[in-house]
Amino acid sequence: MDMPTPRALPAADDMIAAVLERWPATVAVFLHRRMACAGCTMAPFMTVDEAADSYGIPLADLLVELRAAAQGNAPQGPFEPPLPHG
Amino acid sequence: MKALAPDPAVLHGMELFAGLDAAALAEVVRHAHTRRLRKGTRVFAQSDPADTCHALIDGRVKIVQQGPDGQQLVIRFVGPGETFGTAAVVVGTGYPGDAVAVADCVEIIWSKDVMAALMERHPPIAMNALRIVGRRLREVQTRLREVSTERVERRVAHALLRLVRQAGRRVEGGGVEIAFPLSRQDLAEMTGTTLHTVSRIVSAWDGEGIVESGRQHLVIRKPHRLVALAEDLPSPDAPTDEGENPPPPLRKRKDRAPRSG
Repeated sequence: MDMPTPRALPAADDMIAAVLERWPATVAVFLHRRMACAGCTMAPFMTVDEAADSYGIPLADLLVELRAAAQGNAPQGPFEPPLPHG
Repeated sequence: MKALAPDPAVLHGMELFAGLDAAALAEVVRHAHTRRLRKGTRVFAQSDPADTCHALIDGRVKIVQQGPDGQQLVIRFVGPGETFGTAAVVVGTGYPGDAVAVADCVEIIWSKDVMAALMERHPPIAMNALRIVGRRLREVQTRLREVSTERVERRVAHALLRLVRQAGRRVEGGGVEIAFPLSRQDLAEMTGTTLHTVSRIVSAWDGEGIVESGRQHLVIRKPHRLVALAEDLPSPDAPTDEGENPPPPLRKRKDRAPRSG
């Protein structure tokens, strides 16, 4: 696989809303991870890093999944409801 | 309050005039005038005959309604690009509340007769106004439900989320500030509760590090926790028996079916 250029794929300091807007398929990752990010009021103000931290998910794992989804390999449903917020 | 020469560019992005061509926009501006408002200025007063329509170019205006017993209710905050006083002009009643500049502002004004003529000549303005009023009605219905059914803490959390949608700004080091002066009294008047109750709630949130609140300034340090409070999701400290009682799914604006490929 080619090395991605910095903004060609989701990055840790991207805002969640920007990721969802640019790569709509990533919504499946958030649902799969039971994160309530899609459509959240705070999504324009929180980074991928902060969202991972809020849910206690390793950033590296989340980034791998977001990048895979952005490249056409998104998780399939059905999805469980969101987890409690931290 | 100094009169300024209007420039059609000030209408850019204003929903009331969406869909108008350049000639129509020029006509709209030709019949308007703009003025600066110092913070604290009362733009119009409750019950005054509604004879001018207003749109905010810059700053922030608070619409406050006072009841017969002197109790105040913040109807809404108006931000740049939004109109105010327009519905009252169309309805033909007095203004529903006082409009007060809570920051230095620039606004653009049309007389009642001019706006009526513009709406007749350019029907998209009337359609836009209907959409704006319809959306505000939905907001009011949401708030009515919140006041009727939710405990106060959730109402205050919802009020903050509405303010974030309208005027949120990310701050250094993470967190979101409400980018205009906001007092605890304002929050009380937005949620139909007392200053005492809001102070108790905000102080508790401050203690938990969810917000940082000054006299007229509020930063949400744990945006995630505030959403959880507003949506009534269980906190991570609460005992979880998800197998029995899974948290309710969130119905969100942008929810859509996941797509593959």
